[in-house]
Amino acid sequence: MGNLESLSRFAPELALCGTLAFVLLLDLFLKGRERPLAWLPTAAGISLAIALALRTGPGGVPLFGGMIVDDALGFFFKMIFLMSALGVVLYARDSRDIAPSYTGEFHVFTLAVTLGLFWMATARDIVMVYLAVEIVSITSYVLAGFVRKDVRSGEAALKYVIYGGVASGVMIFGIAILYGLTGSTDLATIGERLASPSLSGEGALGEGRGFLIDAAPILSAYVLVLAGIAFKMAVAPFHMWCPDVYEGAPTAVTAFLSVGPKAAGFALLMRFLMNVALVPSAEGWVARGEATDLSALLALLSVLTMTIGNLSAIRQTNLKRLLAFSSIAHAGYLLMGCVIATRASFEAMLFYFAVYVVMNLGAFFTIILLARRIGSEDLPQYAGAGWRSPVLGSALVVFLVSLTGLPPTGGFMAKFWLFSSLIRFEGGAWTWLVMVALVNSVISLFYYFSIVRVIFLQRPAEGAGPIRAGWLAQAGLGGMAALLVVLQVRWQPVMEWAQGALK
Amino acid sequence: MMMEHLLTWMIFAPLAGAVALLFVPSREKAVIKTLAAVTALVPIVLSVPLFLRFDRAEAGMQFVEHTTWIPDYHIEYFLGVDGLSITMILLTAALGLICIIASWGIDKGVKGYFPLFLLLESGMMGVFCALDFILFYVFWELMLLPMYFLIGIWGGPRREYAAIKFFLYTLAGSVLMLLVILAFYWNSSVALDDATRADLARVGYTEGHFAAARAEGGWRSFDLTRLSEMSLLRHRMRQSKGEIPLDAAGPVSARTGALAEEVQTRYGRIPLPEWLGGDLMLTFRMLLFLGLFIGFAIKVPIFPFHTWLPDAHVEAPTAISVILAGVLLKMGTYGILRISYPLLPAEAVLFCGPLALLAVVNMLYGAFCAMAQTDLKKLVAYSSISHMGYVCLGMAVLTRTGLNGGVLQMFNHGTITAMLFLLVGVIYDRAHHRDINGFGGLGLRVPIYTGITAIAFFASLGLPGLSGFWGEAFVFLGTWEVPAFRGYALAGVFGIIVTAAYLLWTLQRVFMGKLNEKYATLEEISAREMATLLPLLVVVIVVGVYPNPVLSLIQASLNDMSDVFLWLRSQGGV
Repeated sequence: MGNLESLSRFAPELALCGTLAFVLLLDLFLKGRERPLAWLPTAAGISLAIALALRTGPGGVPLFGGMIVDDALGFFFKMIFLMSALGVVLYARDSRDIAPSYTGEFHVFTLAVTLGLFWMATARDIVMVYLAVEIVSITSYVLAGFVRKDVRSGEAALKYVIYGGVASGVMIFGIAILYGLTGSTDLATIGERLASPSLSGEGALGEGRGFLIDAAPILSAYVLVLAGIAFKMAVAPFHMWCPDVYEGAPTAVTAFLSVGPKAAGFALLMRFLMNVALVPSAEGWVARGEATDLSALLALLSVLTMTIGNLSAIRQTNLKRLLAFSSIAHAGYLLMGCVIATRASFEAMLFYFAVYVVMNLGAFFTIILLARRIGSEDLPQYAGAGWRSPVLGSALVVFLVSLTGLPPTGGFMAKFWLFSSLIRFEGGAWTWLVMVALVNSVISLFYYFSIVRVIFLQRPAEGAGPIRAGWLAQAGLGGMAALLVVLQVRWQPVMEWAQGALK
Repeated sequence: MMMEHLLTWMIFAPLAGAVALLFVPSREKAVIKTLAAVTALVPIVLSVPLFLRFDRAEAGMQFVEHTTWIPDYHIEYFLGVDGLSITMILLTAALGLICIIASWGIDKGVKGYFPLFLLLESGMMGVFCALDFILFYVFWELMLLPMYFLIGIWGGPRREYAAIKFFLYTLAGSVLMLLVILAFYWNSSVALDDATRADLARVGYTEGHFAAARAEGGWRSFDLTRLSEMSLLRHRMRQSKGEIPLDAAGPVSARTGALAEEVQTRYGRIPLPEWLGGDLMLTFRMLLFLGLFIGFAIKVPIFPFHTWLPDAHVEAPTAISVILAGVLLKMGTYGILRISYPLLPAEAVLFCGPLALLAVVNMLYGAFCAMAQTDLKKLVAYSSISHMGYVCLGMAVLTRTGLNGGVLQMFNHGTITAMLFLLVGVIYDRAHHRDINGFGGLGLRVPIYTGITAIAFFASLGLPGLSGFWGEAFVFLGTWEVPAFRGYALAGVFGIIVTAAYLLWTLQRVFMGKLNEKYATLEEISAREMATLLPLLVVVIVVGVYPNPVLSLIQASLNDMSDVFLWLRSQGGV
């Protein structure tokens, strides 16, 4: 579609742009105590974008001359971004670490990141991919350093910038190689040309005629691009920035960063695999040849990521840092789906994401509400917090049980489908990977339940009164917890949604 | 309505009660306790028709409730009771109420304790009723969470350590089970002929599901009964290299006979998948068996997976210890009998030797450890390990007598050990310690308590006339029947002597000799405590004198199971 026609299918993004500009201007006119009110137009704008996205729906057509595509996969992720952005904006109001005078900027940057995430999930041109990644990165740097006077926040932002800069530099190397090999920036065209005989080894031009390209440059291009995406997904060994950033950033930002960029990274990886690195097969997608097969590498990354994430999380006493490592571990589980890249495994990944968003955001939001009263994110301070607020405590237990992957919660179903897709593939050749993941799940129980232990098994300190939170905020968390339990019994709607996204 | 969905009511009544309790204000402690007791009464009331209407001659499933849950993946809501599970359900129902009465003294966090306890009861009931692998797993995991909190919040000084240890051990086992579940599902495939389709249509599947299954090459299933049929069938196919000979070496029981006919009509000649043939697949099936076995062995607990148990028992409050020893340990052996044996019968025959060895180790190791204890509760905990060894030995011999003895011992141990833990709780509430050497001469001071304790101890060491005798007797008879296992029988008898030694020695130290002056004013057992002990006491004596009511419940199903093994053994190799 041309640029003008594309605009009609671009309504949600336009709504976000409009809201962004409005909130930015509005913030100039609001003074002091009125500034937090910016959440209202932000939330309204995001809701409008949700409504528009639902109305427009996925069309499956390339927009803006093939730069982005509004297909079902992109739509799935867009909804995830919008929902999490809305949640973050609403719960950020209770955040103790966002100064009232900066709330306007917070909202602007949240909207900007969301917009960047949209493009990451829908880009089908490699230049657009790079632009989107940069938009998300740069706005995330600012968000990470949001607590201006806080040394940790500043450190987090700087680390994020340096790691991010290197990662995107590496990525653009890969992009350059791909462009050099194929002469195109369009993902699908790159894929086609990589598959053409002259590039696949048995060239029409024949050996020794100069244009026969062996697997090495193709593989190195894949690996370099993968490194850039892995940085966004916080996959080991590109995860180092993650704990520091998560700990230093305001909790609301951490919540968003743990979901949005990770999901967008995975969307990008899936798109990259489906269009460029792999070719369709009966069950899903397979590599063109053994030499450019990424599955062993992805499996290695997956094992590394989940193991490092889980083992590092055990020793954490800062809740945000603990959840940061936990989210690294979850990226490791999710990566298992990309290892085999079947239709079933991608569906399971999308299902996992839908559940992950609810449980991970739920855990962060509960901590936002608890920390407001406790004034810290250090675990020992939370002794008996469950007794001080039974509703929040119980909700947090549900989120943690779900993150561990135990029934009766959606987290169990998510792991169930993901592992199941690996076991059924190639007569169980990847069962070892599932076993590693299962051992990791058991390890994760230990640290998730170290939180449960502190908030319920330990008694509150003398004189610690009940923790109160707004009933709407509590009801929201209760609803999220209930949703996770319901997902154990009735999860077909979400699964159908995930299946639809891959049609 | 209630009768048609008897099992559903038994499972979900406690859950509904737990939810209802959340709406009672937390200061109304008496209301919460009463409501919990009333809720726990429901499964007991419902178990009366269950007990009376249960057809003792029928080997298969009864009171079946079968409908789809997640039809696209063939996950079903499938409940049923046979001889193996009915005793466990009755035991769970009874201990549920008894434990709530025993928990009457709980004063801290009442509004947390009783809902969690009822949730636990729901989970236990569900495990014993579920016949769908996923449903089973969900209930199995559902129990862990309340148990963690019940030990962790209301337990003794080292409760946090004990709670997480229990949780981690059990979860490590159950993830192995999950792996096996998935492997079974993706490797199961039933040919969809008319009979199967009619069968599945009754459950609630539609043409669409059949079409999808046909595209995948067969019907995958989580249905335990279907999976076990399939395993037997595959075994026959492997032996006959793909052809199913119906005449030669026919099956011995009616059920396997029917199966053989079904094989002919229903499955026809499914081409034998390649992976069913070679040695590699034997390894795979052995791995499946081991995976399940470790999962269940942790729960039993079978040496060397037992180390969580003494910690959990010592730290748990009395009522939770009762549930832990009375019901939860049985889930391990129940799981082996319900899942490992029917799904992997040939592997069960292959592994019965090592299992018997582990069982004897359990008996002797548990008994010797118990002898070394000075903490009364720890002694009972180790005696549980020892007694679960008898159950395992009975299961390992795979004969009629052995299996019946093992399951009978499961029921009897459930009642006896519940009494023992309740009795320990009684004395601990008064003396605030459990040091065996710290008492002395209590017999004269508290004669009723002493009398009940003595009966419970004698039942535990297997005195004829009390229920403990029958289970052990059948187990040893069964073991002696198999010539290769006679050595184990002898070692087991030696275990009984050790058991008698530590129990009698404990009786002597606590109740006989000179009265310890500190306890000159020790109070006699109270009416509430009596109410928890008396029903169990009656069961122990009645079953001890006349075990038939229990034995006839379990016999038909277990005989059927042992016939399959008999047939498998007669076939020789695996």
